[in-house]
Amino acid sequence: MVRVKHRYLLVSLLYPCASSSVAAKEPLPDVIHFHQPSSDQLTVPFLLRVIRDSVAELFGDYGAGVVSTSLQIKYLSPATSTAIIRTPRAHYQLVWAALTFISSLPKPMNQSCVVRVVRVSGTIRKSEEEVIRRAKDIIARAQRPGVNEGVVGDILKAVGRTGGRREEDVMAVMDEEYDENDYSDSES
Amino acid sequence: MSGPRAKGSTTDSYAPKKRKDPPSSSSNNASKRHRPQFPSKTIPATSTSKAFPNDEISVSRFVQAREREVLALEGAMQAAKRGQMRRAFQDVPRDMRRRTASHNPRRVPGRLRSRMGREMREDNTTKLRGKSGSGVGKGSRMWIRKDGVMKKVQKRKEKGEKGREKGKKRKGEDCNRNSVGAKDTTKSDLTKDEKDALAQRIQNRKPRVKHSTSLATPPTPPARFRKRQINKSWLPTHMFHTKRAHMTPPSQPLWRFALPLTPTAKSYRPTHRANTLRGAIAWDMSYIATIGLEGVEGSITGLLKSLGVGDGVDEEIWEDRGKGKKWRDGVRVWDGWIFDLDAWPEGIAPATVIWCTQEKNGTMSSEQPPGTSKNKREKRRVFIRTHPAGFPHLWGKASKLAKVQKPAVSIEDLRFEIGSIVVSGPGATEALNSALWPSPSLEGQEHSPDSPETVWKTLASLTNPGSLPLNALLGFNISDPRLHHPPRTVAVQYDTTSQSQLTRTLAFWPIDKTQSPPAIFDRNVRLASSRSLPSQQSINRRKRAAIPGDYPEPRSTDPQIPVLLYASREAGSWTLLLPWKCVLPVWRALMYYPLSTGGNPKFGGLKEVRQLAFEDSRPWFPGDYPGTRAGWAWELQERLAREKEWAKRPPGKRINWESVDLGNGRKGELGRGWACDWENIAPQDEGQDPQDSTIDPQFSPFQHLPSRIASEFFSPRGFHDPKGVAQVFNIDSYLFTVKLTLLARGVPTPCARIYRLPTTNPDLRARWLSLIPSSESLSQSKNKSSKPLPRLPKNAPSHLRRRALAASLLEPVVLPKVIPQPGHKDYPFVPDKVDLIGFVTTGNFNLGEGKGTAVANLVVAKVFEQERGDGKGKMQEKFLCIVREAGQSVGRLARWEAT
Repeated sequence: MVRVKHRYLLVSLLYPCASSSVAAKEPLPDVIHFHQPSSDQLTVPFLLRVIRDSVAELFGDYGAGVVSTSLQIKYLSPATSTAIIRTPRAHYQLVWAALTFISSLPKPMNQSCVVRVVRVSGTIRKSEEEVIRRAKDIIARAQRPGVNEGVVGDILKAVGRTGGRREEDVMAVMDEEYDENDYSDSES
Repeated sequence: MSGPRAKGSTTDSYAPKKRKDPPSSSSNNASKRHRPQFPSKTIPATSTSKAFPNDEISVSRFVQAREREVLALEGAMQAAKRGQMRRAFQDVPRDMRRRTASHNPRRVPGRLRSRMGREMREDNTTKLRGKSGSGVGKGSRMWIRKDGVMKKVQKRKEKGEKGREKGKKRKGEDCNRNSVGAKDTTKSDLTKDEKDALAQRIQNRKPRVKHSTSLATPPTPPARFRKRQINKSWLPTHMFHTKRAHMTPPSQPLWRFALPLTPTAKSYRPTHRANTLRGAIAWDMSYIATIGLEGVEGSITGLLKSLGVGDGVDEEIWEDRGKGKKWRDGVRVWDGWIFDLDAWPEGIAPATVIWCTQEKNGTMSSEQPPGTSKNKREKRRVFIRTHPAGFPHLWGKASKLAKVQKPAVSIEDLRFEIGSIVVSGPGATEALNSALWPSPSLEGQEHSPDSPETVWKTLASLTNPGSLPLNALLGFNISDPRLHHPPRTVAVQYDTTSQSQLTRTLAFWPIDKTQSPPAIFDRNVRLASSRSLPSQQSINRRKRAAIPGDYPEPRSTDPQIPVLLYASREAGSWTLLLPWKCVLPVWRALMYYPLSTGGNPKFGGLKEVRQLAFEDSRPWFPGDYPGTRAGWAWELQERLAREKEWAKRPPGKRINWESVDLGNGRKGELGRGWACDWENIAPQDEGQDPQDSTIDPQFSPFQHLPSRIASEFFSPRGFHDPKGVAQVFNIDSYLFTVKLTLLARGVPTPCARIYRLPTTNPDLRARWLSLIPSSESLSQSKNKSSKPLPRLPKNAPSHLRRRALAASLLEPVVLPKVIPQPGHKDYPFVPDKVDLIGFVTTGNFNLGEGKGTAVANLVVAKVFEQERGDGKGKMQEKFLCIVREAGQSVGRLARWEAT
């Protein structure tokens, strides 16, 4: 039997202009400024609509058609601005491109936004593992004392670097091999 | 109950039902067929307003939100796993899975049985009873033996109660166990001193152990396993192996043992790797027979000499210095062949002889220098270990010889008393090191730095047991390995200081001076250790009581298991001797040891023993010695198996031996194609038919020539007979074992025919010789091809170009020497039957060498004949032969070498 193959895009949403709206009593580490929570208006149908519109805008009816076969939001957490998006394997680049071209979220949110594709994988399990790994990493960095305080913090600010940003913060990981064991998908 | 069904029952109550009710989707039915729930597809996520009330962001809330995300996703992964349709028997480890009737809940491991039962009930799978398993005592009525079983349980209960009462009574009295304990009830009114006095007066004589020269009987198995062991015995690790290995068929035990043949997991390459590159491989070799000798040194020496130990080939072991002295002092083992001297040199089997070290008593030796009469009268102990195939012959011989000695040697069959484990591979020492914890010394002090116990602990980083002094041994006591279960990886140190320390230890080998008599030679210690093994329950209790993460504290009452370890340089393996009943705990400790290089040690069966021997081109006893009785029995058995395999195939698909084309108009395979047909090349009297009934098929037509003598005969310097053995004995009927290496391609298989270079047809001989891929021709052709004419630059003037062209045209064309390949019309055909000199006994592609090699046997006389035929031939040509697979017409050139 032939299975329908997918790609799972692990996506994190960044809000470059949002930090002003956040009320904070204490100075927060850079990681928290970087990984802002989304508003509650970011829902699954809303995100889906945004992606569809973006794909249609870039690739027309053709793009919207081929992508719509299996486009689905598997996981969306507004509190952490993380999402796992299922796409058809043959056309995941279209979705990726559409996500990259999103610069702001439309009406109810009306917020400028950057969508970062963090990982592309063949099974949902691997993207879940990646979310866990990243979350743990972020927790560790958020709890690290004194990154933004004292002399070191000042120097970092002066140099214009956020504490502990690494290559993987700006790169997406792709694993093409994980096509098998797609156990989590029961309806295809 | 609602919907269509309820309606139908009310309206059509009087009309007969035409069809069954359709399967309703009511909750009643659904609960009957309970399927594992699919995981809910949505992964729970918290909303921002919940995670950050009042839009207030703080580090702790931020971290909490992420933590909740981690939990949610981990839960999702778990749920997805639970949603898989995996049945219980699919969770059995791969190498333990059985294909046959794996759906039968009685065939899955105990821990999965209840789950499987539940799954079957949920699925409404029919469970057939009485058809599977042994079928004894079950059947439609279930347990026929149930009455008996119930009675037994009742009896045990009663016994237990009685025992408890007795125990209470005994506790009430303060009795001294060492005194005449049986009568303590009547003498309970005596005081303790009186009792001691009495005890001294009526001291029981120590029971004398009678060494009977009768054969040992296997230990009586528990009742439910007894019927399966009528014609065979089980190894101590039988249960471990039956779950994971193909065993000998129940009706065809090997040497009266149920042996593991090969693991069910694929293991050809893994075995090679575990032995040479990384890891370790272990065998339960408890089937190897041990004979114990006890007597004065002179008698034992006499007995061993008359068994041909070191006779003619290894004389220096009887000298009073060096190797021989160390061997008789009990710090080295001796490995070699044992012969039946009535018909020298009829080899019985390869054997290992180990002397027990003498007690080192400082005061005594100063009073009486060695060699005095008392020293001579002192009893010594010796173990002879041999393969079970050669055991009956050896036992018969040795027990006769033991009586002849003056004073007589007592001989004991220790077959089911001493078991053994062999471990080989780079991780072998490490794994053994973790399994064998030297027991703390009795006085509670540390072992001396040179004692075997301390030295053993320092050997963990040794990767090749062969780098120990040749045939070195260590004997000490270990504590119960179950106390240190699960085993942990030994901290192997590879820094320079510890490595140099190890090198120094290996070079000086301090154990030569410190080895005390290994306790395994003492029957009482052996028995005591196996009797005092605590139950698993009590071990568990102690483990529970221990500090978490620590092993239980050693106690003075812990059993001390005597072990003897020796390394083999040939095979690069450790051999561990230990009491039969202690094999299993040590085996478990070995099998579950996490190696520092990753993975666990593997286990092997008989096939793996043979494979590794073949990879080292070591002949394997008995299979590669058709000249011995045991080897001949093996050959006959293999022959039958191969014939059966051949006859099983339909006539159109099996090799038709009559039509095998041997070239030059000859047709038909020589002898029986499925056999190493030794009868066919045996020297016979004139006019005797090879299939004559007067030849007893139970006896080999040949005898085995010891390898040391063979390698003297056929040394690389030439064929000669230094001691004139050939004149004394009729060498016509002797075989010797060789290693074959094919010169070109091809893989030899068992039963392949081996020819010498043609002696009758010089033309054919020359054609065969032209096949030798000489290194000279190879290098020449390489040089030619690698040095083409120097290329001219593109802008070279035309006259230079023309000159170069002329030169290249005038260049004589040198064609590379074309070696005809099989199938080509110029490929020589195989020689005649007179040139048949032997058969391949083991052959395959050798992973160690990267090409086909074989172990074969050749007829001594035929090889010497060749020498007489062409005495002037090149040295190299003498060691050439032609190998032809049985049933094939293509021969291939090979080089042999006496092993």
